[in-house]
Amino acid sequence: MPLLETNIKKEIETPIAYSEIAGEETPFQLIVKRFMKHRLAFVGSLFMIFIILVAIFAPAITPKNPYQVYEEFSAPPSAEHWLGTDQVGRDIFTRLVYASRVSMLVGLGAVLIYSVIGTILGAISGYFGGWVDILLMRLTDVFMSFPGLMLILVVVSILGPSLLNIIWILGLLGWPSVARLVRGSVLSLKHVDFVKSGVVLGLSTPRILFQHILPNAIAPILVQATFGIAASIIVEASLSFLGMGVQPPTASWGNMLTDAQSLTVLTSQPWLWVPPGIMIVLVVLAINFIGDGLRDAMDPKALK
Amino acid sequence: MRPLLEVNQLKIAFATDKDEVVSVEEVSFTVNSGETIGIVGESGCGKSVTSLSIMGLLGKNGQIKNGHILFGDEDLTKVTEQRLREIRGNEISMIFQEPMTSLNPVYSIGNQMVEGIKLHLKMSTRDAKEYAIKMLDKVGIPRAREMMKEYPHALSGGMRQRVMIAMALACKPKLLIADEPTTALDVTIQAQILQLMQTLQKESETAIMLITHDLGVIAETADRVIVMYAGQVVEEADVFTLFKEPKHPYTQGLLASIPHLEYENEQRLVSIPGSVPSVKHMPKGCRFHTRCPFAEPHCQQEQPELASIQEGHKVRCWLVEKDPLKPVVEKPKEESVR
Repeated sequence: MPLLETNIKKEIETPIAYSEIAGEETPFQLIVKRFMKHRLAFVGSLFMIFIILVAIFAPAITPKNPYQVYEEFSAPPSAEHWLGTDQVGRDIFTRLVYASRVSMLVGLGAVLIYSVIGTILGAISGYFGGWVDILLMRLTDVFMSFPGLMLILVVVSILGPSLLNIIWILGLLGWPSVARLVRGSVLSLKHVDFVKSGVVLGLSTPRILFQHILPNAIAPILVQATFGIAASIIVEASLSFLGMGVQPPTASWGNMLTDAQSLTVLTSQPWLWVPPGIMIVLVVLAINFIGDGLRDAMDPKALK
Repeated sequence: MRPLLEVNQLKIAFATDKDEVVSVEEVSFTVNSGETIGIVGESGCGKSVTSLSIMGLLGKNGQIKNGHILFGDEDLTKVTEQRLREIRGNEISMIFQEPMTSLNPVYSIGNQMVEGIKLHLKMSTRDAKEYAIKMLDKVGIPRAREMMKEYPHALSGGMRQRVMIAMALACKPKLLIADEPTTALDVTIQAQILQLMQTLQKESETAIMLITHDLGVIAETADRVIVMYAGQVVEEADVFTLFKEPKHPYTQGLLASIPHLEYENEQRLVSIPGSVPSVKHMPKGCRFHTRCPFAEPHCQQEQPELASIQEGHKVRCWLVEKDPLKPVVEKPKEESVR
């Protein structure tokens, strides 16, 4: 015993050797580093930054007005109209640029709305359990069993098609998958020791749930949300293509594709439908790459 | 003087799918301010459940069926959840077994310390920060100011347990419940942490309830010891009496099963035969009689009471009750392998 005690005293008085403090990188820096290494994701995010800048500074990029009708309609690309004009005579390049605003708004807006709803409901459901959990989870089951596109079409035809309506409908229908995801994470996190020590410290329940548990569950939510943006953009494009989404004259990649419904356009006037089609494919691809990259970067099991 | 904490005839039951099982029964003890009380027993004997009930943390299925937990003037079994939250972390705090997971990985050490301090001591963020640095300093964390910005993953187990202690003692609680605080640490760090807890206790007059299954830890730190078996207190004594003259056969068995350096190579370690009875099938009579080497027919029939045999020494055993002065039985002998 005496041997041990002198040891203790020595250890207490002299600070502990510093070798135990390793790793200068914060977890956040580590994630950024891993993300950068994911080439496709890196390229994808550069592309998305570019598109977002284009959306924000649209008037600076093209001097023309997307609604202005020029003399020639369905004109092929020329020096005056880089990508030609559409069947009404509007400049396609300008409309393409302005349409990126619609896609970004729908993608980000809808996902923001449903991520918030899904996160809150999922967190409450997972943390409190019991009848609250049963009630909320049955509600998500009900929402998940709706045929999505059908429901959207019905609601749009009741409320009328508009950009804002689309965002809200997608936002209010998309939350169940997020809720399930968050519920799962919270279920496993609520038994972790730091939650117990939070309770023991006298923290209030909302504080424990939203400030201590949720930040630890953020990774899967973020990944899910990224893929969600791509999905929302596609749904908006489909709706607009069907004429149930964003209404002309407002430009959206989806409603620009509507022209391709005619066979002559499809075969002999590709400048009308190829550019918006390419934009949709590129943006959705880029976002999906970002999602992949994020998932890999945030995976705690990934080594480097 | 009134004791700081008085647990009286506590009975705790947990609801299962079909019925409920009683996990802790007839547990009574007191804790005075500034003293260290050790609670020992095998896994599943109700140590942790007892301590969690004091904090009001039994969870959805646990319920206090009977008894009182008096803390100062308040009965903790009756106060509101709101009041309980004020008590937690402020007047009673707790540290857990597993320091590696007790800190939230997404916040810095400083962040987590300041949170509790601001909540209970109503300080401004800047004051709370300074105070947190002072506390980290006190628990022997080098370069405390820089460490505030560090995240838990950068700290070793021992360091994290120090941070936990700093957090637990920041609000100068009257009672600190330490649930196996050193079990997950290696032995040299264990000793440091125990020493640290004692030093800080002297400064702040905090009472410590030390829950452990390690008799060595008890011998080092506790003033008084409570031995629990199968949800009951079977013996209570001050630490010297307990180690010198254990009265209950279970305590004797526990003490005899500590390995000693002077053991011969071919000596087998003493063990108590059998295992703790399941809460669903508690034996009738004395709960230890199935494993007790001295059990008599009487032990199977009736449950003994926790009886005081001398000042501060209580035992729950028929053998002692019959003849308190007689040294119950000789110590169990280590048997030879050959």
